[in-house]
Amino acid sequence: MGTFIVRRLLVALGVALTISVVSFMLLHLSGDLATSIAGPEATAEQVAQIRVEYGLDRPIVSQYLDWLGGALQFDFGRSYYYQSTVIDLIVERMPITLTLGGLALGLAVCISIPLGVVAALKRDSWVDRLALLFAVVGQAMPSFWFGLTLIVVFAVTLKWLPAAGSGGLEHFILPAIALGYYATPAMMRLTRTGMLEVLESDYIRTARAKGLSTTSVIFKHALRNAIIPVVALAAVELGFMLGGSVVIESVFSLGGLGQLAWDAISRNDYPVVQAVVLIIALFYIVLTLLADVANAALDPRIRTR
Amino acid sequence: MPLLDVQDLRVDLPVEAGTLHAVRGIDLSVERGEMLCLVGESGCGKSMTSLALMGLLPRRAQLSAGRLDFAGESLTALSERRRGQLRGRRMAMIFQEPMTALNPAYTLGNQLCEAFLRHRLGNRRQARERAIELLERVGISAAAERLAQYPHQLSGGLRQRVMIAMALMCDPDLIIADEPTTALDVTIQAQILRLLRDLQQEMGTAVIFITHDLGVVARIADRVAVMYAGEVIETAPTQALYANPSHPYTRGLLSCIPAPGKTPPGSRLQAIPGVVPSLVGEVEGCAYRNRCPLVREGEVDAARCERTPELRRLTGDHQARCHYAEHRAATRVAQPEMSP
Repeated sequence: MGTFIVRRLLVALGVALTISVVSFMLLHLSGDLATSIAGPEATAEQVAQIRVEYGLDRPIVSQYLDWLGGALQFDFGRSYYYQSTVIDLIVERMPITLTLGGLALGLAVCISIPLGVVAALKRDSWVDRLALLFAVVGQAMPSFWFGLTLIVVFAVTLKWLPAAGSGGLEHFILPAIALGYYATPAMMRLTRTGMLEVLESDYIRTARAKGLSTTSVIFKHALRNAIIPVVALAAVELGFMLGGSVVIESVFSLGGLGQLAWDAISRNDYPVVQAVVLIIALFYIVLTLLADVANAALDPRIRTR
Repeated sequence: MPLLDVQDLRVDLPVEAGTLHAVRGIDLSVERGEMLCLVGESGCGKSMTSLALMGLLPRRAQLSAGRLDFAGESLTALSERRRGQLRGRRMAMIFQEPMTALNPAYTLGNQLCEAFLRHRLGNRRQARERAIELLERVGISAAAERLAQYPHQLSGGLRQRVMIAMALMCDPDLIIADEPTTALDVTIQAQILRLLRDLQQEMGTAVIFITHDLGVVARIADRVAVMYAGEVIETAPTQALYANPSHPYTRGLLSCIPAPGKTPPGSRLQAIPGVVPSLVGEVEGCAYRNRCPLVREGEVDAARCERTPELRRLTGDHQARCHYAEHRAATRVAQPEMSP
């Protein structure tokens, strides 16, 4: 298990470095930075001045190394737009995105796994059909539209919950439902398929032949094996929700990382864009790593391979 | 009173084309400490019979039985809860595929001790001690360390030994072994057979050994029941069956076994021509008549075979389901012919 984690960590480090290069290069490939920062009315002298001021006249490799050196110390420079350092902006927004993502994933897990198990156990029953309908609707419905519907029903009509803003926990309930529902169908169906497959397997027959209780057969023997791919999917879904919650964040006016990135892109605020891209990529890497470790913990065959 | 007394056991499965009569009224009895071999080709209903006895039939299957008594209790009358208390405790099962019959996610120790703990035969320490004792008994070295291993770390032969130890954990009265050696190498097969036979004699456990291989039967069985198309067509003590096979199908099976030293090199391997009749819908008459050499060679009155034969007592413990079980030509085991 130890060597397994070390090996995975090394791979993760390589991926992180590659992403840092790509996220740094992408912006430099998208045109002359100095010109776009200076704006359309700037004179040639102003552009040249900005180029020197921002260090854009130096070789690209040394620019990258400078940026990377800073990034390793959480120094991503200053925002071109806000009068504040990039890291302060991120630290301020991060809790919102993490809370939203965490709640949404928690909700998705709590709904999809029990529903998937019941659908598999009661295959072709009305519960199964209902679960399928629930999944198809969740997959087909755009999340912004579902978010707006939630606002209309629960905030505007019933006035149970706030429609927008990011104050207390009550502000996160509707966006977490909207985002969580988006992640539910895939996990539910994967749980259902996994359970159906595992329930047919020989070792389930062995477990039943031992006279074990139905609970033990389903939860100890079946779910444990069926859940392995679901764990990996959940990690990817969380990464997606952390990085891609920009739509939900703007529907509910939650000022999270997604919205910060969106604003930064439209304002050519490059240091912010680079930092957010890198941080979201790091989220993905850490989550994939955690998924691998969790998989190995659940499946002894992976550990010793 | 026999340990297991089965009369007119039937298992029906709904399929698209109608109802599949997988088991069509079989009678079986197993004495305490006896080894009964259930022999037949695939699809003859032998696995369905074993699942029916264990109460592990698929949910869509329908079971009926004139009598299904285990240790004096009627299994059909038991609640699912009481049935679960017998299963694994007083009747255990060993399956065909050792590679897939163990849960990959749990250690051998966990899976070995599970039934023992479930049936409240003792605490964890006692379960562990019994597991080690049985692993050693089935010939696994370093038993204590093995408990922490996972199934994928073991070879097929070792896994089947673990399965046998697992079946013995609760000291059951009856073990049903469903082709436990089919998936193993020939050399390992012989070891496992010998082990099963030794354990059965040592512990006095009754065993129903299911196989398609009559060669295996001769080595281990006290009694044999040959199944064909969902019925028992002949049953006898092993010696009597080999000395005097009375159903043409049994003779067919016996002639299919090449005997080292007897079957001349280069001779054709014997096979029974034709196929098993479909068990979807009712089967009228003798199920074997379309493949029977007696019918094909006109030695018997084929019209009589249109009527369904009963399982008849021939001598003592020897029963056969054939109108012509006493036919003289019938006692001749077909010798493998020389190739030209």
